[in-house]
Amino acid sequence: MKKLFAALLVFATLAVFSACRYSGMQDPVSFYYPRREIAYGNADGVIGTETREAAGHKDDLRYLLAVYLQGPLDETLYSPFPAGCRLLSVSTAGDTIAITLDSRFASLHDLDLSIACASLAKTCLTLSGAQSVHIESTPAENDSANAVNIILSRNSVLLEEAVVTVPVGDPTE
Amino acid sequence: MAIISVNENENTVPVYRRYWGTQARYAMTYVLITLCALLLLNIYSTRVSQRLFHQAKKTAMIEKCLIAASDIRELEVISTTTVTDAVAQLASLKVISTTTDGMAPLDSTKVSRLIVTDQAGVIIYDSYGPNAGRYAMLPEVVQALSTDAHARFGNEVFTWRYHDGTMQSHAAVPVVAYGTIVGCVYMMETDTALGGLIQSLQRTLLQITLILEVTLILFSLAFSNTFSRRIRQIMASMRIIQQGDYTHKVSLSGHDELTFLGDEFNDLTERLQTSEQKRRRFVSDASHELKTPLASIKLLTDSILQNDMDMDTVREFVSDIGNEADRLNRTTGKLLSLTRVDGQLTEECEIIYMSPTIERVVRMLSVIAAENGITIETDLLEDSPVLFEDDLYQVAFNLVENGIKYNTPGGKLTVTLRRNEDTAELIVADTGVGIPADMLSHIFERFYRVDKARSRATGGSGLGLAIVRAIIQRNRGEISVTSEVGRGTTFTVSFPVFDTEVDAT
Repeated sequence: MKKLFAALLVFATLAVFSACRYSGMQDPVSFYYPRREIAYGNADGVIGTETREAAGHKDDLRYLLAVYLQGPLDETLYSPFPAGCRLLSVSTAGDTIAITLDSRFASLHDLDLSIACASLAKTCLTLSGAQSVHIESTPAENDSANAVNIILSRNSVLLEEAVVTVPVGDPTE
Repeated sequence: MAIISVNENENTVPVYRRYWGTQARYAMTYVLITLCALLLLNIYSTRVSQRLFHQAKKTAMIEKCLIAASDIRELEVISTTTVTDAVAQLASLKVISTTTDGMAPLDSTKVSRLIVTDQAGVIIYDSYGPNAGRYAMLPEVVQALSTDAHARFGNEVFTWRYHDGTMQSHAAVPVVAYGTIVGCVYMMETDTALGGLIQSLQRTLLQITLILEVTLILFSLAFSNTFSRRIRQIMASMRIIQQGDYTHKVSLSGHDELTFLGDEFNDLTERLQTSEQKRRRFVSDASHELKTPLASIKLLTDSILQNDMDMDTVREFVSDIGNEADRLNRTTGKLLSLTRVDGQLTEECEIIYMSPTIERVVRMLSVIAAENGITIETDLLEDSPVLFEDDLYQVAFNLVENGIKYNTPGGKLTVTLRRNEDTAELIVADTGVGIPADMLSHIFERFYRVDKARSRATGGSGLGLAIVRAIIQRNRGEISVTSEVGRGTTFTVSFPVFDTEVDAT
């Protein structure tokens, strides 16, 4: 019985190490998306992260943003962008990245727009090391939505002002 | 668990080296159970108190947020300036405790932060500093501004976190005007007073738990020690008795199972002692009874070998040797018979009528009676069904044989059957020499003879009445004797009656 248990333990240890080695990524990058379930007491508040493999495109911001707009793989996260939203252009001027998205992005408004902008800005700032992000989107001609023209810096998003502590009680009440 | 060590080479008496196993097991079980109970009680109390504080804090915080939201909703224009003025007014009324510059809290134990955002979560006012224009992606704010089928006008949100004596509470409510969410009021409080109260409560509960547990440990140790000490007493007594001192008694106080065990143990010891005494006496008597004929045989054979005797004398000596051998044979036979019946209760009985067996016995012994000039009379009219045939035969044979042996020539022996309500009686009365009153109580003992010379002369072994008593006891019967010296002896044996249909043959 002890021998069997020891064998199982060794097997499980080897399996864990193999899995760890297998999951090692080349050029990992972080993408930020809002969480499906709001978590309280986390340092990054409503926005979660997932690590993806750049696979040789780590410096290709356009490629990375195009992948980013396709949405998360992690099922606990969701894409804040409208379905089919495309990246029209990306350019860098000094410490600012200028991003232009198609008209679908302009259909967002209020809190949804804020969350999408915060997620996109945080992703871009992490990927590029720039200081600010300029997001633009023009609505379609027959759309009554307003054009999006927002500049977000590293300080523009207030995610969590509290020290991370253990939540007590039912936080959703 | 007591560890018993037996060293067969030196001593076969078990040596109890350690006794604390049972004690430790009892103590540990008791301590573990109480520890679990106290921990559960502790956790439950802490949870309940925290929940109570949580509920009270939630009500207060949501109420404050709603008051602020109500004032903001009344503003014609929601801007940093107008909201700042509204908050200042609320602070002056002490509805909320904050400062407009956000740098110095009014109450050192209750630091508040107030954030007002628009419907997109963009900060309009923050009591902590110039954060207007930033996106407040705080979970509470997002939750408050979120709308769905269940919460068309946002949500009232309250969260709290308690850590190391500090309670941090967060509340957020939507600002709803004309059926539309126009913003959100978010409030945060860091309350060290309430946190300290919770911490103090937890500490007090923990202290009470520790004191109780220590008390319980001491109590359980004392209890288990008392318990195991009494077991040790019993075990020590067992050792003493194993070494042969059957007079030793266990002395346990109290009225519990262990006391009962001690009493039972003492009873057992007494029975052992009695049994041992009987065994020794029996061995002594048996040795003596076997030794006497053997000594006679030895003496006779030595006489034959050492002396020149005529043939008649030799024949006489050899005849005596034969008689002694017969006596030896009878004695060993009766000893075997006694061993078979001694102390055994009859489990299965063949129920029979008594008179046919009695008649058979009388028939068998009538020749010997006639030789001794003794008349046997029988009165067997009141017959009853009783016990196993062989047992009845043995009882009747021994009593009638004794009645013939110890009778006087020309005497009479009367055998009577009588019926009482629940018993059947067999009465054997002779007109013999009788038994002195002081010897009556000993006649059922093994190898006891009233008149040793006469007994040997008649071939008595001193075991006949002992066998009779053993058989009667085995069959749940009773025997009594009355006697008068020179006039005769009467034995009365009673058996329980089985009133059922039996084969009369």
